Amino acid sequence: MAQLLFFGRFTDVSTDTALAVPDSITNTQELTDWLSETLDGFRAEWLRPGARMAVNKELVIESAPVSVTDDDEIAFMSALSGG
Amino acid sequence: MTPVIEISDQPFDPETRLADFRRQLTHSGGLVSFTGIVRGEDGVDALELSHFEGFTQAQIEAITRKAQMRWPLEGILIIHRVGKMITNEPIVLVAAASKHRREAFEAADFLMDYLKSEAPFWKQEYSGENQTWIEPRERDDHDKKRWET
Repeated sequence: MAQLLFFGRFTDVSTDTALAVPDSITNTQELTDWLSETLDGFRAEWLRPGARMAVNKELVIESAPVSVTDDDEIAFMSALSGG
Repeated sequence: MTPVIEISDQPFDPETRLADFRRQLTHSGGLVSFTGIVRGEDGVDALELSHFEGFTQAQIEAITRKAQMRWPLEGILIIHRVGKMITNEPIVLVAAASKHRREAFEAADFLMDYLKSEAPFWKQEYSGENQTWIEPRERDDHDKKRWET
C-alpha cells in the first residue's frame, strides 16, 4: 500500500500515514481525486497556491499524471514557509 | 570541503559552530555568516518549524550546489533548527567561506534567499491556544529573484 505523508497545512487535513489507498488508484491524478472525496478539506488545500506533491521524494512537476504503485511514498506539501 | 548541512531539533550555539567551521578552513580570506533568530512579536509565544526528513536535506544540498557553481567557495555551513522555539533562539546559521570577501558575502546572501524561498520548511506561530501557519512572503520571492538576472 502506498504511504501518504502530509506536511504544512495538509497536516490539518490528515496525519494518517496508514490511509488505505484503494488498489484501483494507479496515478497521481486518481489519487488527488480520491483524496478530495475522502478527506474533508483536502481539495481546498490542494488548490491553494504553492501546494505540491512528491513521489518518492521527487517533486511532481509534470502536468500529466505520474503512475503510483503500492511501494511509493507520496507526500503532500502546502506552500513553503521558508527557512 | 563538502558543504556541512545539519537539520536538528536540538538547540545549537551559532558562535561555537562558526568557530569550529572557521578552524577547518585552510585557504579562505573571508568568512561571512548569518544567524537567524526567533523574532519577538507581540502575542507570539513560540514558533514551530517542521520539515520533510530526507527531502528537505536534499533540497538544501541542491541550493548549496547552485552557490558552488556561482562562486569559488572553500566551505559552506548550514545549520537549521526544527521543532518548537521561543524568542531569541537561533533558527538558522549560514556561513560561506571564500578566498576573497565579495564571494563570501554574496554566497551567504544567496544561500539565505534560497533557504527562505525554496527550502521545504513549514512554520507555525503559537499565540496562547492558537496556532497559525506562516505563509510565504512576497518579499522572500522578490529577494530570490535578484539572483536570476
